[in-house]
Amino acid sequence: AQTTVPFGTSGHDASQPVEVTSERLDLDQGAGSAIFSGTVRVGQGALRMAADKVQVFYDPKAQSGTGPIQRLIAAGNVTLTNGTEAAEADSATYEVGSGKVDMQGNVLLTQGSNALSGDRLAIDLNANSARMDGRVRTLFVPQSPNQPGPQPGTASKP
Amino acid sequence: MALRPEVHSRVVTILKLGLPLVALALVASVFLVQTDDRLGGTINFSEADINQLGHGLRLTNSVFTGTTQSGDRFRFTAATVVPDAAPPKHAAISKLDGTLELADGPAVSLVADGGDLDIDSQRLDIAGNVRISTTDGYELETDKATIDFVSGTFVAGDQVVTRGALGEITSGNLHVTPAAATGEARRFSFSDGVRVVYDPPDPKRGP
Repeated sequence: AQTTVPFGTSGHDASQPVEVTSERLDLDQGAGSAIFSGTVRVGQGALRMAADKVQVFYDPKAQSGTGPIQRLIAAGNVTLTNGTEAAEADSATYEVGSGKVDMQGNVLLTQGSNALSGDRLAIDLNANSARMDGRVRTLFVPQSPNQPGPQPGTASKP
Repeated sequence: MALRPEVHSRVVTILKLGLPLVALALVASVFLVQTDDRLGGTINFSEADINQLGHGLRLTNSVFTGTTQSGDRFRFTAATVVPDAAPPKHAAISKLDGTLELADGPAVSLVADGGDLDIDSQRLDIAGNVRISTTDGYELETDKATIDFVSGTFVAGDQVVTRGALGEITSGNLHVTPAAATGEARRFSFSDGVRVVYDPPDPKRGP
């Protein structure tokens, strides 16, 4: 089963500065990769990604397009949020150039009072859409007329 | 009036000894007594200089070169090097300037206000405005660092700012291990809190 839902409102500007914080960073110049480990937080504009480990692939010589950083692979308790929606998964790959995020493993997407779970979530930041694949289940909490329903699924992992 | 024979012979012996000595003194004075200043500028030591010299030896504008185990060639110059004893165990260095040609990588240039060279373990602790740059575009600023010339490892101290392809990296410390030790390529390990700010080139803003 497959469901497409909106993700984010304004287009994602991939040229905004990226800030990454973590406990540790190992830079392997030979392989052109940088491994952040230990409560890693990545921020770019309204987009926030958190994970236990994030590997960044960069090519120092590439100055065109989005420059040296090409791809981020996050693993372990990955959460991605753009302020209004939040997506959780076991791992995620963010192709900086195309603005595509591919999240895999126990994916849970929460949007306001709706929650969607499945095996894989493909997000297109520029088209503001996300497609959930594999055993998609929707948690939809009916809003009782007078008071706002509880927010299911928003209790994010510690 | 002729001299009496014994007086005559005594005068002769005195002159036989005296005259060569006088000649010798005359010749020596040509060298010892400085007439003009061919050295330019007289060398004079003020009281402070002598105190500062302390008791030991002091080298100025010295050069320290060699190769680490992993084949990195280094050449360091220093304004002054003051060894702590003879034979020296430590040497206090001021105004350090050096280059490290890494066997498997770029050339690294380094400047620091001062340092302490542990001669036995071949370890150099540098401190004060440490600035390092590499030919492949990395720059590093810190206040304290240690270079181990035997193993070729480099550890930068308690607040390091590094600029490179990945943008600006602020970290508690930085360990650089040479390729030989880890097998793969050279490893930069930033730890004790890392913050990276990366500013991607904006196609709209142009180069």
